Amino acid sequence: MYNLGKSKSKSKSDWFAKLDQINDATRSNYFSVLPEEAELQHFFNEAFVINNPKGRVGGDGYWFFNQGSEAYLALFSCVGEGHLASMMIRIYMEALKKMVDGYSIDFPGSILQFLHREVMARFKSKNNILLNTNADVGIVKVDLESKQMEFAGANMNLLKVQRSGITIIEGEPQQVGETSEQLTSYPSNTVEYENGTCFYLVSPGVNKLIGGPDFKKLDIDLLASFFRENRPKAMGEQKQLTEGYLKDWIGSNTQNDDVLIIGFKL
Amino acid sequence: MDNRKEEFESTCNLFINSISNYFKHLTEIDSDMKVPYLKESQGLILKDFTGMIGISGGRKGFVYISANKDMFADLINMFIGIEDPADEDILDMAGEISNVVAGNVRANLGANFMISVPTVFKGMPEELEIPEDVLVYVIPISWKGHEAFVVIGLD
Repeated sequence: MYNLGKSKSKSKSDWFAKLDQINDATRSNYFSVLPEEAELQHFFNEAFVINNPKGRVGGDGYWFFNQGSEAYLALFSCVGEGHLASMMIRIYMEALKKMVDGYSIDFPGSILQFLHREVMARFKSKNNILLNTNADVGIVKVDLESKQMEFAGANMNLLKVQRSGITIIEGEPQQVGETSEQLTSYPSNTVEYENGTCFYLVSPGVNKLIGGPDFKKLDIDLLASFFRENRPKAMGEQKQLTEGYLKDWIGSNTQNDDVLIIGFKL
Repeated sequence: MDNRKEEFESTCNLFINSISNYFKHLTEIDSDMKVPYLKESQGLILKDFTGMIGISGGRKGFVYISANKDMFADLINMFIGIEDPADEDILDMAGEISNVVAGNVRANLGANFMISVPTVFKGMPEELEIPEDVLVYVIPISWKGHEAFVVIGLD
C-alpha cells in the first residue's frame, strides 16, 4: 500500500502535464523486449526499424537471432491492439526463440509451422480466452557468407527492391496461431539478390493508414514504388524519408493501427 | 452547485457500472462494491499496480484502478491462460482494465468526455501528484477475495 502525500500541483493543467511525464511501465516493457535497431545494423550493415504503435504499446513486434554469418529476422503482427496484444508479443518472442535457438529449426517455413503448432497447443485447452492468439508473420533467414536467403510468410509478404524493379515475395495467406485443427504448411522461398538489393517487411497496419490526396488506405504498391525511388539512398536516410512519407500520408488523420516497417540492404 | 454534484455522482455511477459490468460479463464472477466515499487527495491509497487515465473535455480529472498482483494475475490466468504471469503481464493487465472501464464510460458520456491512454505503473512514482482542487471519490471493490480501488477525481 502506498499513501499519496500532499500534492504540489496547484492547478489541474499543471497536473495533466505531469501525468504525461510519469513513465508508463508498459511502454518501456514493450520496447525493451524488442531487439535494438543497432543489432540489425551490426549484422546487415544497413538496416532500419520504424516502430510506431498506435497507443503506448502495440501488437507489432520483431525478433532477431544471429549466429555467425547467419541470422533470422521475423516481423509479426498480433491480431488486436493495446495491452492484450502487447502480452502476445512476449509469447511470440519466446516461441520464436524456442524454435530457432532451442529446437534448432532452421528453415523459415518450418519455423512458421512449428510456431503455429506451439501457439495453438498453448491456447487450445484454454476456454474463454479474451485475446486473439493469431498473428501475421514474415521470417527471413540470411547467410551473408554463402549469400543465401530464404523467406516464409504467414499472411505477410516480403518486398524486394532492386535496380530492375520491385518483386513481392508472397507468403501463405494463412496466419499462424489460430486455435483450429487446420494443418497449415508454409513453404520456404529461396530469394536471389544482387548487391544493393533492399528488402522490407511491413506490418499490416501500414496498409490501413488512411490519408493521402484521396483519403484512402495506403496501398502497399505505392509504398513499394516509394522504396524503389529511394533504393540508392542509405538505409538511415531511407528511414527518415519513410517516416516523413507516412506522416505526410496520415496528415491530420489519426493513426488507426500499429505501424512497423523493417528495411535492410544486402 | 447541486447540479454539479449530481453530475459528479452520475459520472461516478457510470464508472461503478462499468467496472461492475467488466467483472460480471468478462469473468462471470460478480464483484462486490463496498460503500464509496469522498476523500481529500492527500492520503489516497495505491496498491501495487495502478492504471491511471486522465480525463479532459467537459470535466477534467482522472480515474485510476489500483490492485495487488494477485488480482491481475487471476484475470490474466482467466483471459489469457498464463498461470504465472510476470510483472510485465501484470502491468499490461492493469492498463487493459483501466482502458476498457474508462472507454465504456466515454462511450456513455459522448465526445465531450475525453480520456487519455492509460499510464501504468508499479508502486508509487515520485512524479505522481494529485491536484488539490478536485473531488475525489473512492470505490473499494472486492472480486474473488481480492481488494481493489477505483478512484475518480473530477473538478
